[in-house]
Amino acid sequence: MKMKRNILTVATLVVAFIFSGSSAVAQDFALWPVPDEAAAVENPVAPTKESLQSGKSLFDLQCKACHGESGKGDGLIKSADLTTPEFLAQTDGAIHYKIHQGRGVMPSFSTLPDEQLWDLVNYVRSLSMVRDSADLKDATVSIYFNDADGQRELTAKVEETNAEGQVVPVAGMKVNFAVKTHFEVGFLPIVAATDHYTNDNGTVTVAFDDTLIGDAKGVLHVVASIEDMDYAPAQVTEAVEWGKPNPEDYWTDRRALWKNNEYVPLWLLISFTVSALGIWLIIGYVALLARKIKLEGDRYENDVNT
Amino acid sequence: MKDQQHNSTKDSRRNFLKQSALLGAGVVAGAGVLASCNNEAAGSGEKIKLLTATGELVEVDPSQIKHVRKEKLTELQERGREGLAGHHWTWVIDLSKCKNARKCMDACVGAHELKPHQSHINVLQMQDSKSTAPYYMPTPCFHCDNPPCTKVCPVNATFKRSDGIVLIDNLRCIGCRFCIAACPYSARRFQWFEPDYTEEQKNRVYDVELNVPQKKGTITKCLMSADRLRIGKLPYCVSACPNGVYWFGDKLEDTVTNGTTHETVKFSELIRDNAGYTYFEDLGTKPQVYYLPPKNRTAPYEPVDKFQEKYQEDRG
Amino acid sequence: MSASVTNVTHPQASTFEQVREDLIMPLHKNTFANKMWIRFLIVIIILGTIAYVHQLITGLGVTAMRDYTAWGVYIANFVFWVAVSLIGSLISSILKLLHQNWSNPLSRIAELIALGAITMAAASIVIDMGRPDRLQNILIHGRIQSPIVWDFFVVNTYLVISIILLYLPLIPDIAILRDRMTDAPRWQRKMYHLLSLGWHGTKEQWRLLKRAMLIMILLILPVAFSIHTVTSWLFAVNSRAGWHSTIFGPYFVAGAFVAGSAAVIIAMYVFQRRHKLQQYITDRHFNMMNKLLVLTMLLYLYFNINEYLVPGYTWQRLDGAHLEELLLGHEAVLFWLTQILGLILPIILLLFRRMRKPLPSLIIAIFVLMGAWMKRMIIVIPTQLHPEFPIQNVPKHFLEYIPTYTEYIISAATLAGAMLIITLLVRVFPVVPIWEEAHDRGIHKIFKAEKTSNIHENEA
Repeated sequence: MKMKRNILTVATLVVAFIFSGSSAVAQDFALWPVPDEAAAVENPVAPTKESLQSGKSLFDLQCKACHGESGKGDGLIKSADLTTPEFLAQTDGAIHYKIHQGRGVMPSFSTLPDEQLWDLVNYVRSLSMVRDSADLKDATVSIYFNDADGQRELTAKVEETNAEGQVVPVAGMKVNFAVKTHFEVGFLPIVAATDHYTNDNGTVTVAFDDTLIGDAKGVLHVVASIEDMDYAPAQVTEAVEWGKPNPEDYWTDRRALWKNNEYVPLWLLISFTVSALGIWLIIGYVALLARKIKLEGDRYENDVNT
Repeated sequence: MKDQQHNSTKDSRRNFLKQSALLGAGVVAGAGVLASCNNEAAGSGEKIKLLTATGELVEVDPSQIKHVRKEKLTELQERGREGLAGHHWTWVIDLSKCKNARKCMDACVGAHELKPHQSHINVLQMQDSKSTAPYYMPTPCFHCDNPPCTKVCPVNATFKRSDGIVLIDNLRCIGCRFCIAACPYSARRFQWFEPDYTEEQKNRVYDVELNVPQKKGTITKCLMSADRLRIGKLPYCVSACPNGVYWFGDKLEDTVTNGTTHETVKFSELIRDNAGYTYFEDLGTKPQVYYLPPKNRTAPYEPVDKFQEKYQEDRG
Repeated sequence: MSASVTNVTHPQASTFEQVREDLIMPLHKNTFANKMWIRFLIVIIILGTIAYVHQLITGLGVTAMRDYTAWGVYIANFVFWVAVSLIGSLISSILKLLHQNWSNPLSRIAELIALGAITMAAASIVIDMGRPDRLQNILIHGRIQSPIVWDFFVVNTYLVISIILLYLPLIPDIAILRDRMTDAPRWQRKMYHLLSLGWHGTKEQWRLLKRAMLIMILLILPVAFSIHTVTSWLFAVNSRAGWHSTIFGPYFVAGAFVAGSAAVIIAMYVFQRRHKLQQYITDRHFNMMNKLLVLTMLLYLYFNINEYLVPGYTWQRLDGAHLEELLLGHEAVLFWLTQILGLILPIILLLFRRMRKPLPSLIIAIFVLMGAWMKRMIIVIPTQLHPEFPIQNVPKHFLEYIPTYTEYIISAATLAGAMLIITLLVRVFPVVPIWEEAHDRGIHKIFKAEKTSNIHENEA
């Protein structure tokens, strides 16, 4: 249910685009005046891991399409590079103001809770800090299916190898559960709206959504992925026969006017064939009569000759 | 199936049959349109006597001659006529988000090698009546489940696949344009001129799922980017939208994915919670493109020239 | 023995020989005017062919048709030619079955027009195709569900039936020509000999021929109605304002009889004057044909009222837009000119006996025929400019349809083509059936084989 509300929020958010029509996209930030009082506002949210995490989720949803994964303005449309020194020279308050207000093609995000905007500011600021992927820790995630007591549950376990070479559980790791769709970018969240973090055993368990539709046999591909700024992305996909079978009843062998010749409606096939044949048989009969006229003429000429 | 039988016949015989088919064509045509319109009528049991290259006299049914004459479909054509099993593609267009950026049109024109005005998806400026609010509305082909266009096609050049996509095979299209007349959604375009191609571009193998290269004198239309769907990618236009207008997915799987944010939700819930609807349901076409109403448009609607300069170029 | 050629028809032809000589006379004379006329038609056809080759090379873009008005003059021509061709069935079949013997001398004119028109209808549809090189796909991949396949079937069938229906009543006449036209060129004599099917007018031959003619007269009726009904369905099966109408079939058939009758009146006038047939195509024929024209026009008017009043009363969204354009907007001048000059005024004028004389009726018929063609344009084109969704983001000229020279030249060539077919056929066949005319005049000689005839001498 909460997932739906989320969608609605998103839907209302992006509405706020203002199309400028011109190519005033690559803008000099000095030209976007920010009131002094707005620029002077202090960032109340510290750039903690949680804040950056939240900012990243928001950025991926709302900003990535245009500003690009790395914020360099290389997304679907030409947009501001968020990693330049000029951009970073601005105060947090100024960045917050611009996200809040929007201008031209840049939509206004004034409907987002203020705290989330500050998370976003924190994350945007962190974009320019090049993170070496070697610095990221590695963790593995695995899925367990449990349908005892008729209650279907999914459990993900996150583990890492510590300095001593031992495999130990990772606590407090955010785990996302989803099912794969046909599209490589399409992952349908199984449980949305709330975040799930691993407990001290490195596991997190969620109830399964029984309404999901799988393939013809009901096979679903469940994906569990971890999301943490200190860890390299990792995910695991497991097939499970927990989905509803794909109805596949859309395409039928029913005859229809819009289908190809193999599926001609019978009434049409019969009436067309019968009338076509009928007409041409009659024409054939008339041709036969003409031939008879000719034969009769030959006979008559023979008679006259002899 | 019948084609396969003939594939097994020897080449020489086939070549001969091909030549004699020209003779036979006269007979078939002369024997009337009977033969033309349905195979049942043609297989009337009468045989045509043919002398083979080796001097044998063989009897051939006229219908067999026809089959030999049947153009061999390329692999891409064969494949393109089969739908991706277990799918029924659907499209949800959120009118509240469309900002008239027209990135979808550009992507479409680029992918399908069209002139700007031929874009398979057309962003319209709509106003239902004088007192109602205007909005932007992208209109692709609606891939109807009771498609008027494939009904009227005389040669099965345009057809509906098992996954719901209405495609066009431009190696077969005769250019009668009946489908344009039949389509209530103005989704079809015609190649009135020879497309601007180099000789090399023109001679590429025709891909029915991309409808490239475009062919003079045939129809071109939205294909839901069938070539992209095959490799698990969202359509060109859907991926190009910066504003999150498009949700694309599968009705059978009941999921749709947003082309911009890649957010994935249940199709039925998206439609239910946002009052999704289709256009001209009363025509009985059962369109497969759904719209979400243009409510909560916070940004002002700014009308633009309906006949912009970039769409004015007619011939190549 | 060579035939003597006279220049004057017999004022009161009462013998078979007189009738025969009167009707054969035009076949002997290849006048300068006639030669020039044929050359003129050929020049137009050549120009049309050049224009068509240009269209083939450049693409259909040389026409004014575009993505919204995807059917234009060619389809209007097609509908027009199909309409005109229907007159063959009206005069040769319906009037014959109703024992309207006055129309007998006109039946061949009607059949000739039908043949010329249906040939050009078939040509028009090929001209309109984007890929005429793939015409065979209709044979290979034909879908029975498509009205185009139905149309393809009925047009070809009607073409064959038209030829047969022209040919069967010609057989006795061809036999006469075979015996009489001994001074004709060799190919012509050979053709007469072949086509006469050894006709000697024996009882058995007459029995067979009458039977064949009766069958064809009955068969052409459903086929003729189908051809124009199916043609109307090319439009009516589409959910479009102005097309999606249940009365389109009878509406088109009624309109077809109007166009065909007008075409016959024009042809009657021309043949009466050029072939000096005042004895055979008389004022009475003009009088009756014009009455028939009025009858069909009244029927057509009735369908017109239905076709425009009903949607005009509800004024639904697109119907309203379409009708507004037609009755008051862009197309209003064209629409009202067509309706008034091509339908309403002719009906009123033809109520007066004086207007049913040859010359006035010729002028009226020309207006009616032009109106018939304009009406097809009005049916085919404006509807397409009122789609469900607004027309946007296209070149501005997509909003209107003004035919190009190429289209006009090609259209003119189809007109020339139809006239050339008729002209060439009346060069070798009598335009009024000799045996039927003799029969109607009570000259029965022809119905018995001439035992004493010198057939074999003539053939030598």
